[in-house]
Formats: sequence, C-alpha cells, structure tokens
Amino acid sequence: MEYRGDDELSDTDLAAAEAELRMLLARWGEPQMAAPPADLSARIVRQLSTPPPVRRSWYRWVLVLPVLFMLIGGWGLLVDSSGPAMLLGDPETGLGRFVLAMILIAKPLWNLWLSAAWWLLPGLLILLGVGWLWWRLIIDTPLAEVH
Amino acid sequence: MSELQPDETELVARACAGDQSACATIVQRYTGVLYNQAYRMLGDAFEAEDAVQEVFLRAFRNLQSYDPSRRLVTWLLTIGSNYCIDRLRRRRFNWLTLEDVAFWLPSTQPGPERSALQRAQQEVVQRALQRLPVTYRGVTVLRYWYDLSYEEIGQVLGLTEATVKTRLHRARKMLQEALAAEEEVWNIEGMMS
Repeated sequence: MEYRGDDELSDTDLAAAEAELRMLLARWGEPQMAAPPADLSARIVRQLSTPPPVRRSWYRWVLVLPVLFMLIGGWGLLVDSSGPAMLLGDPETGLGRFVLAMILIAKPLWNLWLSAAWWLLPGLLILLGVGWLWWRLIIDTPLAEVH
Repeated sequence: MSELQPDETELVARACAGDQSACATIVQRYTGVLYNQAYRMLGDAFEAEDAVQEVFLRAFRNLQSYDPSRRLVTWLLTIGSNYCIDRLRRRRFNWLTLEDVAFWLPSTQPGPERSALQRAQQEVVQRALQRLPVTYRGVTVLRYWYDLSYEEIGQVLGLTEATVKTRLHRARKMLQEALAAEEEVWNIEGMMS
C-alpha cells in the first residue's frame, strides 16, 4: 500500500484527469500499438517447436562433487575416517572402500589448507559477506530509481 | 483491448496437451500485444523482440499454472510485466555499447516528411514514458495502451485497486510534466529549423 495523502481523487476528478491525459496523448499521435516485425510470430513458433537441448545430468555433478569431497574430508578430520564408509557397507570393498579412499585423500588436503592458509578463512568469509550484501542491494533497490 | 475469447480455455488445454497448432495460434494472437508492452516498457525495439520470445517461452513452460477464470491476455501481460521489470533491473549493470551511443547521435538522413514527423511525435511520448519510474510506467502502459480496468491492472501487477489508482495519478502528473518539457524542446527546435 502506498502513501496517498493529497493524491486521493473523486471519481469525477479521476475521469477528468484521465480524459485530459488521453487528449494530451492524442495530440502526439498516441496511444498506438507498436507493430512487431512481420516475422516475429513465425520466429517464435519456430523457436518453440525446436526442443531445447537436453541438459546433461553430469553437468550438475561438476558443482556437487567438490563440495561433497570437501564435506567428507571435513568429516574425516573432525569425526572419524571410516564412519561414512561404514554407512555404505564394508570399507574394505565396493563403495565403502571408494568413500574411505576419498576421505583419506581429502584429509591431507584439508590439513594442508588449515596449516598453510588458515588465515584465508576470515578473508573468505568477508568476501562472501560482501558478495551477499552487494546482491541484496541489487535485489532490494527500489524500482523507482530505475530509469 | 480484446474481450474474453471463448475458445481460450480450449486453446490452452490443447497447447498443454502438446498441440503445436494451438501454440502457434496463441503466439500469433498475442505477439502484438506483448511486443507493444515490451517496447513501451523497455524503450527499445530489439530488446522488445527478445522479451516477447522469452515471455512466450516462460508462458508455455508454465501453461499448466494458467487459471482459466482469467483472460489469457492478462496472464501473459503479467509474465511480460515481470520480465520487463527484471530486465530493467539488470540493465543498470550493463556497459554502454557503441550502438547505444550511436542511437543518441542525431541522424543526418531525413526520411519521408510525413511519416518522419509522425514517428518523431510518437518518439516524444516514448521518451516521456521512459522518464517515468518503472512501476509507474507499467500502470500507465496497461491503462492507456491496453485500456485495462483498475482491477485488471491490479491483477496483472499484483497490486490493490487503490495502489493502482495512486500510481496512475502520480504517473499522469509526471507524464504531463514530461510531455510539457518535450513540447518546449519540440517548439524550440521547430522555431530554429
């Protein structure tokens, strides 16, 4: 709901104001519907009848896998190495063995990062915070400022 | 503005079922309406074409959510309005291209006089319209170019009728001021030439 104050108009005033603007627009040859290019409908129909390329499912794993790798590494470091592997069966064979191997690979990477670059963590958090703030500013800027 | 088309529900049902000819009929019937809205909102013919394509894509993707008690055109205008507002938001972060600059430069090629004059007059209104904040521009276009009622504008933009009236009232004032300013420039240029 917007602030109204002196913008309130009676129905008669409203009709008069409408008519006034319509006359003003008519003086400039408006309102008229802007005509689209003649072939626009045909182009859109063609585009719609062309099926969109199927997204390959492996594409999303490119983003998910590093995060998963980091998470199981963190688990291995903070809790225990064989826990997640035990959840998937025998850590000596099959998938359990694979997960255990991943944890054992990720753990030294975590250790390396924590020993050598732990001081990057606050910087990373600040960077994420600033990024988030910037994004919120874009989203929340009142539309009235867009010209 | 066209009245409620009796075959709309059937058309949408057929389009939902994957009937290509129903989709084509919807596109052919509403391209002009959506193009005009996008052109008035975005102020650029190429962007408007792009917008119409995107609006139809979004509409057909979400056709299942169409409420048959509403006119199809108001539903499409809602999608168009949301798309244009998003696009204008993003536009603030775009860099200027050489084409943008060239657009501002005065043209040295005069066209046939009559149509040029008419075009110039309409461009005056288009410029004045672009001076309005987006929220006011939206209600103005729907009211004066589509003759939608306050209630319908409220449906399209998700506003109450009172808010629509308030925005329209302010938009009218701003548009009148903008047109008066354009008229002054127009008169000065007329005297100089």
